[in-house]
Amino acid sequence: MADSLALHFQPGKSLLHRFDPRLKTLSLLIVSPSIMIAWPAGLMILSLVLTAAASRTGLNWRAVVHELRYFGLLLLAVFLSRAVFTPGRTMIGVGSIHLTDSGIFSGFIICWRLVLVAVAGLIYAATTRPKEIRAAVEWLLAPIPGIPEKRLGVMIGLIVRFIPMILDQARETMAAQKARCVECRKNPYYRLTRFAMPVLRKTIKLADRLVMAMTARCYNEAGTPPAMRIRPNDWVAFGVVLVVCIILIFSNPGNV
Amino acid sequence: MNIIEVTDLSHRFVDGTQALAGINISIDRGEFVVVAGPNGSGKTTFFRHLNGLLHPGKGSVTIAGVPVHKDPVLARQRVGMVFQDADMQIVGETVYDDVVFGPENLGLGRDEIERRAVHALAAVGLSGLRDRRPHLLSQGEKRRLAVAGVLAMQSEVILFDEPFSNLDDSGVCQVLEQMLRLHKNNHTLLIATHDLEKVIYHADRLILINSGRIVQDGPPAVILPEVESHGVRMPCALRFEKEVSSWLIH
Repeated sequence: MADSLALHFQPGKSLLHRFDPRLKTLSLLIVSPSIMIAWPAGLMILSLVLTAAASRTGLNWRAVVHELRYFGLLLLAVFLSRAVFTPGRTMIGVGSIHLTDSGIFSGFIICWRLVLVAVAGLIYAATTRPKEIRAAVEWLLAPIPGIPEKRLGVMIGLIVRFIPMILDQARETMAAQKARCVECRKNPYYRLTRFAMPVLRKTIKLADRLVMAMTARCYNEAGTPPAMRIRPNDWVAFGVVLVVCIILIFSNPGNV
Repeated sequence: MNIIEVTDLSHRFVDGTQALAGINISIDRGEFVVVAGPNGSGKTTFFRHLNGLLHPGKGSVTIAGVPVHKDPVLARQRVGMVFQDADMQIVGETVYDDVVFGPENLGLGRDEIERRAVHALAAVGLSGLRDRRPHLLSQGEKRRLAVAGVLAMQSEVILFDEPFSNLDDSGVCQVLEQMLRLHKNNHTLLIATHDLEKVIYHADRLILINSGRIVQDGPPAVILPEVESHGVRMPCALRFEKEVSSWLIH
């Protein structure tokens, strides 16, 4: 249960919780690419800002770290590949594998950027109700012709709602198969098909029942839109985000 | 006055199975009706016709004088349904979001939606959990949330499809107490179950369905001695020649 709680909305009244979801979503969309081109000075400033923000989210950071342990493996792989394959002066050498100084620096910077993007995303998810995320996505997509933004918004909402259930079903199926010694089967194809088919079947059945339940409650796309209002404080907060983005961009010597 | 009128209702599934055949029934406002029958007898299909989720192959269903097929949205508003698996019914990302799902679909104003949500959550005792994710609720709480979703639509009639399945004793008591409160507040209740033990004491009327047909309809005291001939287990007290009592008495 704790793992289900770690990466989701945490009720609260902090500044970030009160930040208009549309501007907050837009901020995340602007900050993320800015992080990916920032250098250490900018990353350090952002790290301080995000640490302050993170302390207000109400997230259980130990549970978050546990949940993102596989992300750590990805970071390690990125770091090693950069450290080994980037040309430069050899710092550590084992056999034919050499970690270069510029490779270590480059790997470190990229991992730092990825961690900050992940933390920004987590803070966003922890301080924004799924319903608000949905409304913000609808708002952002509305000007683009040919995109059914309301339908997409409902799909996002349902995905957020039903991912835990699908994961639970997958866990139950896995447990039921383990109880019948599926681990004795060494053929991964056999195990994958025996696992995937029942989960898929249950998921489709779930979708079918969901349609029935939504119809029973008069679902349509012309319902009451969510109430949202951008206040002066939201514009101030958005301005701060823009300033941080400018700092991030110009912390890279290549952009000065 | 009758709120539900069902006349010669029949339903056949696409695979040819005859789910309902010649159902005729009237339900008065404020009645507490238990619809019992073995698995696959047609209880859920019958309920889905009352809620406008299915349309009759033959016959008609009328809610407060309006045929369901003419205005299914009105039927769904007047007749709320609590599904057997509450997990399937809950579509909101939080408790509050789920309760307002129906009123938002009806296009109500934001103030009215808020008023209804506050009232519905208070009625089922979930006011303190409005920001909780439904996935984290107990089974009893999930079923109460499903009821709140129906209450927020201000349905006069509430259908419960196998309301006690997958519930522990505390969950059963929570749901049963909720039903009694709804009945006291003049809601018409129809409960589909094969487990009479838990609810029959409170019912005004018992309808037995078997193989898609109504085989008995009347006061529980008259029908209960015959239920086992239709595949429904008799309440334990009757086996010992005692009177049936409320499940809420421990």
